[in-house]
Amino acid sequence: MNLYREFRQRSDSNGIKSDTLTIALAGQPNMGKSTIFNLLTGLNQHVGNWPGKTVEKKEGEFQHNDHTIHLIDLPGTYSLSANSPEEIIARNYILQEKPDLVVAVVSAANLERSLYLVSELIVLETPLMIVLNMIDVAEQEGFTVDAKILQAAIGVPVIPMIASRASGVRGLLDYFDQFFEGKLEFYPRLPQISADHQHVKELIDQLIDGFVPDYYPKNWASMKLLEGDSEIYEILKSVLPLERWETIDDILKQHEDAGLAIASGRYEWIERNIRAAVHRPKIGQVGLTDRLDKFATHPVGGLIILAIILGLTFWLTFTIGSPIQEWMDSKILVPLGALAQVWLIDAPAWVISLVVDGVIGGVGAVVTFLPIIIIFFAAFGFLEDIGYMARAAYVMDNFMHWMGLHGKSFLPLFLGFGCNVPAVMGTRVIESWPARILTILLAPFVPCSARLAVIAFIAPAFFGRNAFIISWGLILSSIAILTIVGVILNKVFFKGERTAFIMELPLYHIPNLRSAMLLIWQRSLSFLRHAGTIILMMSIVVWALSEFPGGDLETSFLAQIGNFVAPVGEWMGLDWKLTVALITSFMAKENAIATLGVLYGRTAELGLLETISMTYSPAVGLAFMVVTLLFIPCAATVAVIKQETGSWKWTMVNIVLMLVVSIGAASGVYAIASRLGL
Amino acid sequence: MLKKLLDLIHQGGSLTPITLAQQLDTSPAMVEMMMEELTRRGLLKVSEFEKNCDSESCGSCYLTKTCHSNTQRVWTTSTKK
Repeated sequence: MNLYREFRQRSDSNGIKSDTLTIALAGQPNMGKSTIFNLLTGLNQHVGNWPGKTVEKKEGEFQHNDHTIHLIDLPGTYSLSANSPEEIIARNYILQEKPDLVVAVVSAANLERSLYLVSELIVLETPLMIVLNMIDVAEQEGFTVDAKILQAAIGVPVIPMIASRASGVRGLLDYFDQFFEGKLEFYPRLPQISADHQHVKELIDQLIDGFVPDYYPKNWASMKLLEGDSEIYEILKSVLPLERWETIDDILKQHEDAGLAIASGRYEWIERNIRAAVHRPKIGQVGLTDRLDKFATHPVGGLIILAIILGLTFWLTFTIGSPIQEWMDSKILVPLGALAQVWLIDAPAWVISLVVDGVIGGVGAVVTFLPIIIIFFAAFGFLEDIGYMARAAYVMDNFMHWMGLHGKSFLPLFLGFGCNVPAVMGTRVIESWPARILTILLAPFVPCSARLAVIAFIAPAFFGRNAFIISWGLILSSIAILTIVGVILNKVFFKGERTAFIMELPLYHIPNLRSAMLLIWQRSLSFLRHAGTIILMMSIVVWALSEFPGGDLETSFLAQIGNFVAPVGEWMGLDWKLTVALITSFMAKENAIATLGVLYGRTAELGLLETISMTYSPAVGLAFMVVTLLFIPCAATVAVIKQETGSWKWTMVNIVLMLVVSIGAASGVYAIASRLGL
Repeated sequence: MLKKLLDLIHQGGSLTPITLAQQLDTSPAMVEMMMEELTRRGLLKVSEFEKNCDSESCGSCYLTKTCHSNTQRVWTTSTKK
């Protein structure tokens, strides 16, 4: 079929001058359409608005080989449905104004998406050319598009181009010449409605035959009608006899899924053309991602990899971070305390106690966390940078599905490893209110980086070389407890359903060392600021409570508070000091260590770790770590839970739940560990 | 092609555009386009999961200023069939 010749006959009858050609540039936004328009028209262009619309209209003219070419830059559109003013303008211009030629600008780097518009343009019976722009970007991304094969597959001319470098303009003008001379042949291969709805389309074709306004191709009008296009629906309704229209309307109601069949036909058409023309070697990022994801997102293998990565993080912490922390504790903090005592020798006793026990003992102990927390920052930052974190959330989501939990739940939960606050905030993604409440209740069970640091600090005091295994086991156990609690709550209260859940996974990336180092530096500074504000304030409060009223720790206000709650602490093997340390962790989890630093600063000849390892048994240490991991979340998280649930009831439910689970688990662990002689 | 994709999604469970593309023998970009089509038609629901790390959302967290705020798209099946 030579559409050009058909058109020329039509044009001649309409009196259009043969030496003037009107060309419309169509394409999706950001495909380089305007660049091509500017390249061709130069300064000879006019900008206005489309009649009756606020959408910009650009048109221009240029001379080429004694021909005047009138160029119209159509608004950028993703399709030719009647979804937006831009789409209506573009399609009505092509259908009603009937340009001599439509040039579709597509991006080689994003061909699948670009071809969707082409799949609609190609059925409009106006001669069509395709400018395959951005072939350089496609090559940079590791694949090539063969313009000749694409031309053969689609059946219309395809001109490769790099508009940003004005490369390929000559080729485009040559094609215009050929078009002018009637030498171009068009054999468009059109998308087809899927076979199961072909008969419906044929029926509609028959019913609208003879009633479709001249400027609408019948084939296109029937497809748009089946797609539910409101504009075509109203037009045909107004021109068809009532009885015939009612028949059509009944067919449309019976075949509401016809739109899906038409769209499906377009995607099959795109897929065929992509398969023919795109050469994508499986060695690029996508290939690597596919290969890595076979393991990283495997339902079982992915969980094993996640467990190994968590273990590796702890191994690094204990191999590098803990020795530095212990060195800072014994070689900096202890001498600093002694030095402060010498400097303040003439100061009142309470000032010496405030500086040595309150500030150095409390804040100093937390500052020695820095090497440990830097490793957590580095590990989690690295995993985020390379694109692993999304996979970790995905495999856990798979795991949660087994347990009957909502699909989206683990995505926010996974943020909890950094901080529970964004985890609670992240539940906004869950539309179902019961599922959201359940996820909010579970979020504080995820061990945040502050709790992980407390565990990493304490574990070596009681378990030496085995600290790595113990910590790793504790983290995996806390995730297991989260799952068990989630399953129970879900089954008993929320009755969750298994729904499909599709998650976008980023490509793996090689991390940028400079960015990673900058992030670690910024987070370390933030941590030190945190230690110098919240932790310092709490350390001073704890010190004051431990000092007053009489200067004797055992009769202090703190001891009185501690002794009041000590009976509960005893279930877990904790004395009043450890119980108080646990309670102060409500303000910030690191306060547990700051409080111990204040309370044991009085025997500061030894480092804090040595002191507590000599004071308590490993069974007590283990119970303290368990209760710390599962205890009520910090004040910031509680505040966010109240904000997100909008209810004190659910906030209290969370606090009580965490108290019951943490005290229950720690009591059980203490009982078992004691029987084992730890 | 869209129906095949819908059938796969309706089988339930956790999926990614990559795993769906492997099962349909096409590219992840095609799958994403088709999921957007199904979303437009009300057959899927899309949500943008954000780490809401800004001073308004988590002002009390000391990592607020250094926390990356990124967006991740997730799709779930709609009740409309």
